[in-house]
Amino acid sequence: MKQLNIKWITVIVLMMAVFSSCKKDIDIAPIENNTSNTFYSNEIEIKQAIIGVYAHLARNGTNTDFATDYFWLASENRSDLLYIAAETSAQNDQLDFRKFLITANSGTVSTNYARLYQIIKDANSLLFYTTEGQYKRYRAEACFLRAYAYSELARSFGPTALITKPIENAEAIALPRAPLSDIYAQIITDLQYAAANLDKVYTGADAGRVGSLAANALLGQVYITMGGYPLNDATAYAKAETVLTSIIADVNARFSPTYAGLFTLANENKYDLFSIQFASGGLNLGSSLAGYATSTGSSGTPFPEWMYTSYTLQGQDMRVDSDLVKTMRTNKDLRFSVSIDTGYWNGLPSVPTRTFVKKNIITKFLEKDNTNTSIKAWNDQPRNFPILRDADAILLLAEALVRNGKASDAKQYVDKIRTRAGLPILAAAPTLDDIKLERKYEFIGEGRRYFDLVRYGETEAVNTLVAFNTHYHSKLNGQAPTKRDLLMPIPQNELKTRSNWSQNFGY
Amino acid sequence: MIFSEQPTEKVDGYPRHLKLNLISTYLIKFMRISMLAGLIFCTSAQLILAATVKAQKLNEVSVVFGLKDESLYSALKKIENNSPFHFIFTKDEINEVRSLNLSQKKRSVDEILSVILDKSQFSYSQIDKSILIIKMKALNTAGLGIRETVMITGDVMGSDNQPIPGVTVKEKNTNNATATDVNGHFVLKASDANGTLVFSFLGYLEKEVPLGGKTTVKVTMLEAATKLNEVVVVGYGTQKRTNITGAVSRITEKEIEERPITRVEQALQGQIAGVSVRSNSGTPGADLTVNVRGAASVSGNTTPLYVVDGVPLDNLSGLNPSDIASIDVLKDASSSAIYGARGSNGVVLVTTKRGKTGATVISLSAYTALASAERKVDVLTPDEWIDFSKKWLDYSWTLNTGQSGSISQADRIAYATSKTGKTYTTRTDLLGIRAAYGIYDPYWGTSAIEPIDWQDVMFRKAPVNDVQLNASGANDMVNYSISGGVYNQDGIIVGSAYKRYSFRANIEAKLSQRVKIGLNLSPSIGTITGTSVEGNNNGIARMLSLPGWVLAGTGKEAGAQPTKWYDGWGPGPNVVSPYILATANDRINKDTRINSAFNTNVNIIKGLDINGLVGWNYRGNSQRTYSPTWAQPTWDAATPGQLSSATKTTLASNSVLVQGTATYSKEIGKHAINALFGASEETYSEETTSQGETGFPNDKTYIFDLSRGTTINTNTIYGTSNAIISYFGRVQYSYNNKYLFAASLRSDGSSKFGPNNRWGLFPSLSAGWILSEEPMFKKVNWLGTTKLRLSWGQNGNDRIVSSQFLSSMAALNYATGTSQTSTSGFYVGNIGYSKLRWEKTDSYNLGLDIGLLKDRISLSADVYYKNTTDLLLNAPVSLTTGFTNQYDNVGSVVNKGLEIQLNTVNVVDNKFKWNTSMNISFNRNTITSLTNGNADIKLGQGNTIIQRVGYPINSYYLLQATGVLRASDFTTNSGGALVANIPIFTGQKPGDTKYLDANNDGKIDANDYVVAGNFQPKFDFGITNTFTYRHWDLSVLLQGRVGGDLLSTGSRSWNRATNDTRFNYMASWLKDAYWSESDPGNGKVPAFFSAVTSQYDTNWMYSAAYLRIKNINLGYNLPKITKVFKTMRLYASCDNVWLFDSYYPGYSPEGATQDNLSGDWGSYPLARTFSLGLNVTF
Repeated sequence: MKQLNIKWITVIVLMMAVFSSCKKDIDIAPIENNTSNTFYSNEIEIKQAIIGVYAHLARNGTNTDFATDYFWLASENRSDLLYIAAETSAQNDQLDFRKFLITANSGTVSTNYARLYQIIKDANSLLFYTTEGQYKRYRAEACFLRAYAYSELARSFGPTALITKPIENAEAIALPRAPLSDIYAQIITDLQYAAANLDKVYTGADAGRVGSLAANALLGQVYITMGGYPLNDATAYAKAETVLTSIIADVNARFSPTYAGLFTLANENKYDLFSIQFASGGLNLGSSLAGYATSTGSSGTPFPEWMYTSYTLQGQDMRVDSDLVKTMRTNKDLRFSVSIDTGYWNGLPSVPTRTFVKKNIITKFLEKDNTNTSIKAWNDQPRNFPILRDADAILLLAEALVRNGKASDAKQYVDKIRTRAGLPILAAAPTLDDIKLERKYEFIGEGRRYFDLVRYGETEAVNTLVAFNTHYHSKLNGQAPTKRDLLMPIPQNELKTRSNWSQNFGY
Repeated sequence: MIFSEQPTEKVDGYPRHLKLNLISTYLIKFMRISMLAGLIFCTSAQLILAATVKAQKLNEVSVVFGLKDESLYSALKKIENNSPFHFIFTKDEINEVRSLNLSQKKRSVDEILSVILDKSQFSYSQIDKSILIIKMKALNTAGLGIRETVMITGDVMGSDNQPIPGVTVKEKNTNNATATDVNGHFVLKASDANGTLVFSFLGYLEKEVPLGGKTTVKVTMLEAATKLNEVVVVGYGTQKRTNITGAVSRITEKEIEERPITRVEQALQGQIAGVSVRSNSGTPGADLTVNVRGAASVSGNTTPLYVVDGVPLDNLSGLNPSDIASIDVLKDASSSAIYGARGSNGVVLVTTKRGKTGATVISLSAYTALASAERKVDVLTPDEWIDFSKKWLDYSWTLNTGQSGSISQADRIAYATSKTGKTYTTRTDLLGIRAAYGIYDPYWGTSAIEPIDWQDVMFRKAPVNDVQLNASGANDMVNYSISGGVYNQDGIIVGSAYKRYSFRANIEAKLSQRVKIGLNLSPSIGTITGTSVEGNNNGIARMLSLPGWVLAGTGKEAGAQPTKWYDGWGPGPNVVSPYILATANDRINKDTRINSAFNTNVNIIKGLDINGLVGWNYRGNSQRTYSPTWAQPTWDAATPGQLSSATKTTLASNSVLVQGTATYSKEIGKHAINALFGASEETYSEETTSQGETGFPNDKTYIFDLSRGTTINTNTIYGTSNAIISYFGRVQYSYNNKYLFAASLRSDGSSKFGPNNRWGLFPSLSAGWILSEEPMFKKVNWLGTTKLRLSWGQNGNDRIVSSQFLSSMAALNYATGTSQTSTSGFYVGNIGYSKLRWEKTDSYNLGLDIGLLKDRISLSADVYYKNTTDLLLNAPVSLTTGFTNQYDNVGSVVNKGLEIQLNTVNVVDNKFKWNTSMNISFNRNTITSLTNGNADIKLGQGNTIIQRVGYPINSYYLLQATGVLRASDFTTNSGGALVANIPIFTGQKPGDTKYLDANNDGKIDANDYVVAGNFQPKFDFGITNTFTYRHWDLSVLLQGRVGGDLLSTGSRSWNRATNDTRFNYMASWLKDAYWSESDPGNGKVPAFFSAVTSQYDTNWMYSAAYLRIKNINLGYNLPKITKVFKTMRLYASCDNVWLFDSYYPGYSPEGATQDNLSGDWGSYPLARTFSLGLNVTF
């Protein structure tokens, strides 16, 4: 037995020795060794991190960008500017938006909500992993982007969770829907921080990144939004006037002399204040917006005179309100031809049988150049999408002045915009209706209209949309817009993870 | 050990009641097991060696011998000392025989024994060099010396004509008994020439043979249904079936060989209770889904751990079924806990073939088969599609104009002209008013279009061929088995095929009495060709959802250059036929695998063995695709090559196992102990690359370089690795071969978890009680071998992707600067969740094995309860975190069930035999808790898959359809608008699907979604009937399930009201749908023009119950022709003979392509295969 014991012990000891020496073998870090706690260690990485936050606004690793999912599908698409000419069974979400049938399960609702919180998450991480006082510009940009994301969440989804640091799920699902006032307070703080710590604008290699001008312009837009439905904060218009007045000289300096000049590749980042940046070349940096905006249905034919490569169209056959087309043409509004085409040839001039297809479609973001071989796909369009540009600041200031009883001061601003559009200046001081109308024409295709209608108030928004819907869509299997459509539903993907939130009204 | 070369010393200790015939049974049994097990039972190995030397017969050995008033004991001693023989007896018994006298004389041993034992209570029997002295109990002394004795000689063989040694031969109603020798031969002194002999042997059916005056008999014994004498493979070793205390099921090469199968998993389908095998796709070379005792994980990976010859393997696809000797499935935790970390979904142990001692055996097996689709799906025929389109256009006409649907086309056009002032002459003109005025296609009824049946185009009769060659043999020094095989299968859908070359060499060499080394080497290459036909917008979805019309002359290649698809009223022009999708696009997926294991076994001292194993599995996968421009829908708008795209992805993985084990076995009296201790380290590393480019200079080839293509789609290199370190041990103890105990413990450390949660400890305990060995049960005649088993154990699961406990940055670039160049960006890619830990399963098993009617009926029943906690899932998280999912331990799930395996020998005859093997499994899977306060987890297409407490994993979450809304469900209000009287979904009209208002709030909305069903059956079953008549054999396998549902997400394309008649639909949309109040259909199919169609409801959930005649196999065994071959079996076989089910919008109720394999989206049909095959050994 003694001999046996020794043998056993030898065996066990040997094995223990062999294997305990290998215990470190199970300490395996990812081969791509960029763990977030070791990132943010120097300026190069912090720059990469802030670029990553901006990038969520672009394609974000998917087929569609924020401009398409948010400003087109969830905004312009259901406004009183566009109607569906013919339905296809694809792109059901787009139909559901147009027909006011969206539910908490609609994918696009969830996509927009998730994307805004992605921006917040990565801005939070950057702010969390850097210390106050260091890397000021990047921190200011992060604050701007976080504020921007919250401003869109607030006007599209109402109160949501207010998160300002990296957070794990267990903590997140315990958070309540913070009151809108709290969210706006955070937005204002962030924007003021950004405005204080950024140069006015950045150019050259940094073009496309925000400066204090953008931060103040957004702050102005936020105040104007606060002044309208649903917060109706009467004090906000004065604040908007103050902040917008403070930047108006700088904005005027960036005023494009022509409307067409705003939508030209050569002038990108010249006149705007904050744009989503796009580039073609098949690097997943291109825009998907034109593919949706010019769509005649997903099985439609492309535009041979405008597009070099095969250009498949996405989404539904959306056309511009014919009354609006009529008015703009009658007025000889210079913005018309820049924004809208009334049709296209279905073949090159060399094709003798080609016919002209008549459709009023938005071509504002379409790079019409059939020699441009760097555009590789329908979602590889190069044109930037302006979230804030010259006319935003100018018309927002004009509106603030009118609302603050200083309509006569507002006249110069409205006239400035009208003059550029080739329209006569106003005969009298602008009314609120003049400004509303001007915004409608100025920003067609840019996704401002729906949010404008909402802040104009429940009655105005619902009545306008119902009238439009009755005119164009009475035979569709949709439903009439109601108060519930002034917000999107909280996505089911969010509600299913928690039990402490109630759904938005009517969903 | 019980027996040794010195029987006097060893046998002395045994109690009188131990029957000698039982001793002999055990002896022989041990010998047989030893031949298989080889190394553990060292002493019995000597018996094997003895067996190989031909023993002299009793009448051939003579000794000079005499006795003077001596005892039998000393007589036997004397013979032992003077002859090569040893005696086996019970000393107490033979001590009764004394005062023997015999004159000193040279006699044969046979003669001496017959004289001295004559008229005693003892008889004798030779087994090799041993002579059994058997006491004949309760002898009727009255008959002693009066009855005439008859010498009966005979031979006992098995059904394979091989002799069976150790069979107890007994004269009925007497105590005359003996046992057969190694040649199956016996000699028995019977008291009655007209008596009856009873032959019995463990594992065989008892047989009675009336003598009828004959003195020589030839007996064939048939194996009993129970296989209690077999040796099964357990974790890190083998064990006798009788000693198993857990739940282990096995199938052997016999079940695998006799039927033509492609994949090892197919052999398990319908054969083992508790093991469900699902052919979720009929794609050639596709994986099957194997579940052992239900799904114990929500992560989607519920496959059991596969271990081939001791080395874990992720996938069995490279394994040739013909190389397999046995498959053992460890179902409960006590058997699988020794595999700790990864055993929670069961363990499947595959053992490949070894050589058998004797001359080299060369075997050839081959079959050729023809496969065809099991059935077609009942979509609208070309003519029905036109009728359907017309019906919808009539509806549109009536809806828009208020006029009768019987108004003619000419009148409709005239009416349109009157309304719009335009004239409509061309087809294009008419297309513009198609929907508004219900205009028919002018092509209909003309030769401009031609009909086509896409299912006929896509399906074909496909040949399958398989050839396998194997050579094996063994001697004292070397044991080898070498094989090679070629398998070649064309898929039943055009363009798809699978080809496999596989080789295997298993070689074991004995370096000395104590050291053995072995090498298993198995390279294989499998090639799958053909593009994916499953899933959204792929071949099958298209062949069901495209109408059966193409423009005249375009045929099955419609849409590809130089043709266009039927446009306007059809889905064209930019559509390409499914035939082109399946044939013009290239896809070649090659899997090269090398599985190897190097084994060293050292016998340190008697009973103690040390085993070292190094296993290496290599997998090289390469997949390339090429899609030419001419096959693109927009070929006309492109130059050649412009739309062509090519991709190539490669994966190389290496998994290395280093393992050491020590085993020790010892028997002390009635105590037998077996211990195992081991440690192992397994490392896995994987590297993948991917390249893709679109836009080629021409349309000739898939080869590209960066300078010639126009767009680089992908160009990436990735890598990952993980490791697991394990220590394990097991002790098995049995007392008196009646009470069995086992305990095991394993500790695993996995790199997939954070430093604090890395190690898991997995214990198990089990016990068994062989009831039939108890004296009180021994008296029960009808009761055969009966055993009670009880076990408990814990298992783990770590099968998630690596490094999830860390938060990693992911790349996302953005265009900045005046030049709009790509600028490098990074964002936080996943939540680092440091608390991530093992998924753990606690499992309990109670099993009962019963043999009845002399083991003609054997029943094995197990009840089990498995509780899995800390379920690992990439679970949805609040979007406010900035993420959608995070790996987390999200809850627990219980699987409980009952399994019954019943084997019966219905008819036994020398010529005709009928066996039935039946199994049935009940499993109930229930989620018992989830994190976030038991909040539901929803996933899949449209969030239709739900994990909810109280329901099975992957339940379906749908609106409950209750019929079709009728006009009577609505009233018209003063404004002329329809108002519903019952709850409806906003916007619904008559003809829409009627939904159940589950929450009774008076409206239908997202809150009315209910857990409507799940895939889990009430039970599933398999029945095999085997008939043998002379040289013929026939087996029929039925397999199926009762209960359960299948969500056919894909059928929403061809079985849903889309209001778009340009596509094709199930025939029911013409025949059974609601069209109007006067044509309301069958009340189940809603109107094709329904208003609300985007919801997911139970209309797409179908019964998944089915019964398949899975296989019928008829074989003929040719009589032996020694000079030509040893055995030859010819067979004809049919797989998937017939399917009884009610799943109509797809091909198979087993189909599953997505959403945790819960949803079907046009899965590849199973093939009905007729094959002719041949198995020969030389």
